[in-house]
Amino acid sequence: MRKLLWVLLIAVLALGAAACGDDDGDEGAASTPATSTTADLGLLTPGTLSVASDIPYQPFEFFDPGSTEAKGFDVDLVTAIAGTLGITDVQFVDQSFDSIILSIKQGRFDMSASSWTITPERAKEVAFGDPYFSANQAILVQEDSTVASLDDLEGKKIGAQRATVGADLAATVPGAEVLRYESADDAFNALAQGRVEAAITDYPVVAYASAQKPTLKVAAEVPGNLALGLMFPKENAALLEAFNTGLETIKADGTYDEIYAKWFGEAPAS
Amino acid sequence: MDEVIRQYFDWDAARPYLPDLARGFWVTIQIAVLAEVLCLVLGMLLAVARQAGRGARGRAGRIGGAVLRGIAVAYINFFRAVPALLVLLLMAGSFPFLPIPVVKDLTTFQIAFLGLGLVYAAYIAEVYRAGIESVDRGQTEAARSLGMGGGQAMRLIVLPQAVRRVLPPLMNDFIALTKDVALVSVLAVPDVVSVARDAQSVTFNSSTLVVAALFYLVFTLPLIWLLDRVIAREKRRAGRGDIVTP
Repeated sequence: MRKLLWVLLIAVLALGAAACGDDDGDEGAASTPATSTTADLGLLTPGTLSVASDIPYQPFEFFDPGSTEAKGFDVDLVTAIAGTLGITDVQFVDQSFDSIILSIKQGRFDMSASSWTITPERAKEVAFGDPYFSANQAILVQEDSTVASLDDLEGKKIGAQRATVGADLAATVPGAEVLRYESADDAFNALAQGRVEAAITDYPVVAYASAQKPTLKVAAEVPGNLALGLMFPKENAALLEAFNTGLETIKADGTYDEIYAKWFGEAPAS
Repeated sequence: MDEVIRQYFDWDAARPYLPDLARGFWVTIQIAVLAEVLCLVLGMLLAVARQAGRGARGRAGRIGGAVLRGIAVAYINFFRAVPALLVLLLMAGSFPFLPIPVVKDLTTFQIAFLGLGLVYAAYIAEVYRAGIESVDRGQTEAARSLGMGGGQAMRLIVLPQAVRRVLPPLMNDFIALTKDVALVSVLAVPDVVSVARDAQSVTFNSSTLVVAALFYLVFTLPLIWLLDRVIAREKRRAGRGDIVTP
């Protein structure tokens, strides 16, 4: 028994050492291309762009089953812009949505791309790049629901993801009870279960969910085109400026339209 | 330093949410108490089932006892080995889709206390079991020799002594259970942690979480103090020899 414990202990230590070794290797490899091009962008790890994102939020950011590679509109967009800046290593890191603003403030990530609606409250805490997408909020309901507008939800239960604009919008409905979930998918699931009357979030996400789940449909869009922006710590203006320039570049050379068409099936209304 | 104080103790950021937080803590207490009642009862049944058939004379009694024991052991080991969070997510995520009358209509509040009650019943059963096994065999033998049946001896002689001995660990589990109610915030049940996080997501300030912690302290600290008192009293009694410890 004693011997077994020793063997286990040594195995664990060896594993730990191996893991650390791997990390060192990665950093070494990543820092090699950290040439002068990215040195002035103030990245936490030169040559690597760390991006906080609440995954999944289809089709903006999600994992395919069995994959740890983030994909989606935001991922392609950030990767493309980073490419114009000479950054080839873009790391999307899954974080819970309501924790990201604090993490960005504390400088734990270079930036966040998580289909952030630019709001005055958020802009007080962090900096936003130029808008890269504009979207309405939309109401998702069960197939047989008669809800056709926000007013129809008076006094009803509405599901939304914690800390989102959708949750704030739901809270403005008179008498409505807002149930705040960890993720948009949790809210959609609660809707499918009949625990809430409707779920509210960004239109593209609602449209995507209704296409994936035949028992759910889009009841209505809530007018008020909200702008989405990439999020940066206020301290790193250089990176924000570089990304604004990069966004211009990929809009000008058609890359943006390609990415848009890839995820939303149509060219953006300009 | 100012930022530290502002982040945790910004009274102005927390004040508007006090009524919501109080309502949230009331939900927390309701779930804790309902789950506690459920796990005390279910835990007792499991603990007794785990002793079933000991000393049964007939063949049927022995086989029946073995089956009961098997079920109890399987239940206890399953719920001790699986995270409570997983059990809650499993129940909340699936029940409304099941074609089972009562189960499919359970609210998340009901699932919250049922789930925690089911999980803690396993721990409570083990606490009871320790109590039951600490009562000397001679007690059962004496009861049986007086003409009591196996069930009677368990109910009238063993359990009263057993429960009394395990009062401290039972209270300990109740405190642990109360704290685990925080898990139900992932089911969008408006417990105090859930309310505090909602507020934090609006204010970008952690003071509401600190207030939630204070609510917990006000409730659990007296329990912890009471627990220490009970332990001290048991010790004095044991010292005086009031409890027959073989």
